[in-house]
Amino acid sequence: MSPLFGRLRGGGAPADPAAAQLQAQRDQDSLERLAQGHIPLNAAERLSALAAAGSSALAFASDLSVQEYALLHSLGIVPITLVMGSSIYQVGWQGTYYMVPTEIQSLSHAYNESRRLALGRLHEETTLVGGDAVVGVRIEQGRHDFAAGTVEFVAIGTAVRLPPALRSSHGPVLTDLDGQEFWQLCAAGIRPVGIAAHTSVHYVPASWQTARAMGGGMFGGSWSNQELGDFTQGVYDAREKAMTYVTQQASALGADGIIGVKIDEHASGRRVSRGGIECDDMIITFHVIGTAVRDDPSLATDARVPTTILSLA
Amino acid sequence: MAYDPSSTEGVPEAGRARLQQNRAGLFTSDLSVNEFLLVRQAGFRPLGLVIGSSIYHIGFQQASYRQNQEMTVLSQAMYHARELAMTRMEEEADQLGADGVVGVRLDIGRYEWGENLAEFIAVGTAVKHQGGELHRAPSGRPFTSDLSGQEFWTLLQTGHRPVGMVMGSCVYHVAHQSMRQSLRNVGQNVELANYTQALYDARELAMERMQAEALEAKAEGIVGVDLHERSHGWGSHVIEFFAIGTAIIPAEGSEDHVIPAPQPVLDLS
Repeated sequence: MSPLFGRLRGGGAPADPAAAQLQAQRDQDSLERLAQGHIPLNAAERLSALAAAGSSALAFASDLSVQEYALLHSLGIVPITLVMGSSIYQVGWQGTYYMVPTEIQSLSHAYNESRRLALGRLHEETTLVGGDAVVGVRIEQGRHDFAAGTVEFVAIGTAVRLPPALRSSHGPVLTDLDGQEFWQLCAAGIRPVGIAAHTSVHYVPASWQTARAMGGGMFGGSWSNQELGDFTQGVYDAREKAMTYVTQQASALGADGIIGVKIDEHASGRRVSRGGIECDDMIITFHVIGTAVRDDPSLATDARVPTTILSLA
Repeated sequence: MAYDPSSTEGVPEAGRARLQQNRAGLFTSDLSVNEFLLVRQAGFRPLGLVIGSSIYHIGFQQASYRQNQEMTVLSQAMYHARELAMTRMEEEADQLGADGVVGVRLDIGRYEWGENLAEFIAVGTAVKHQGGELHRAPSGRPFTSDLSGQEFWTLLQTGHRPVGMVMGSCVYHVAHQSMRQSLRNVGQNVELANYTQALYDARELAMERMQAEALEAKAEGIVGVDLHERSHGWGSHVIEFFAIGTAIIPAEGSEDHVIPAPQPVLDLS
């Protein structure tokens, strides 16, 4: 190992072989922890130390805006620290094609596992610092040039300590709400109970009719307007699968409903040759995510009637 | 497309199970927290996210190079596919026993891989009035509205209610200039009257069609009209004018309704 490389990694090559071995052991442990769906050693130690320091900890870190902080403060919600969960997952699909509409299980699985691991790690970090909830969670889908054929989910939010009335008996609550939204829901007597999300990826082969309309083969594209029934049905199938799982997750969380549902759907084509006819099959990816909520009138602080205002800003 | 409130056409097995769950009480909604709270404040309960979708192959029409003309095949396609998506969304809302659908988004997806293919998707949140007040459109169909939760609340405060989204579409071919015209105009400041004329024509057709839909819905007026001009990959001389808005009618018993005066505030953020 060149001396420069060692310095880049943190202040000079280790003089002591024992220290180097210790570092290697720690790296190994971290990888093992990741394999089990946990967070790496360094993160765990930092967060545990923060939790041990308790209220004597020097300062909190948060990505809350000033207004969010002020609002949360008025509800007695105390920010602890920024927490994160991330997972880069390799997609195993080898690019075969199907003759009948099929869910591409390996792709759906990659998205769902990656998201589950990321949220799981967010949950773990929050538990470690003794947080009751995470607010302002941003869930982003990343893509890296260095790792083609992978999906990544990153979830970043602020772990907070809630006043006893707002606490859930089932451990930390994850939401994708920002501070204002969290505050408003609680004040209106609605309790966020968790995140529900699912992705489904479906493969829809073009039927003969679709292939003909789209211009495959020797007939050329069709001149007339027509619905592509097989593709439409494929979108419906993917959507229903995703929505059904999300609904089930919400039921399992004991929710009354899911709000702020974000749908992200994307269709891509895949050129195949079937029986000598070139045509485009469709791969449809359907992401659904939302925050599950439950009515809890005991949380309601007041029944506010909105006032119509004219903003002069 | 004929409207059939009991139709579950295109909704697969899993979808029926989901609608069943929604009927049993669990709702889904893409409303933000603010919108959700305001819709509840207005007396409505969200029932579920409803979606209508259609993947459509748009036909072909040869335009005459030097003629301003509507591309009727393309206009027809845009109409038909949107109608399919909207109707399917309304049918889902009917399955849930909704009064209407708020926050409707009507999107068109185009993909590089399918040249003549477009995906039309309508998404909204089905709602029902908690007091059982009737809010359906006069035609008996659930109302639809592309107003946000905030706008919906504000509209109800004014003693009006939405009846349905109305739209007008016109795909138009703008004639190319003849060689003589272009030569005559070289280096001149001059209005290109045939271009102006073409855009006016297309816009008027779209607006007129939207208004005709509103008249048919017995609406008093249309709010939140969005007029856009798009070329869906048909080349620079073929454009679609698309007008969409929410038709409204006065709510029952709102003759002596007084709109509360807004309070001016200075936003410090």
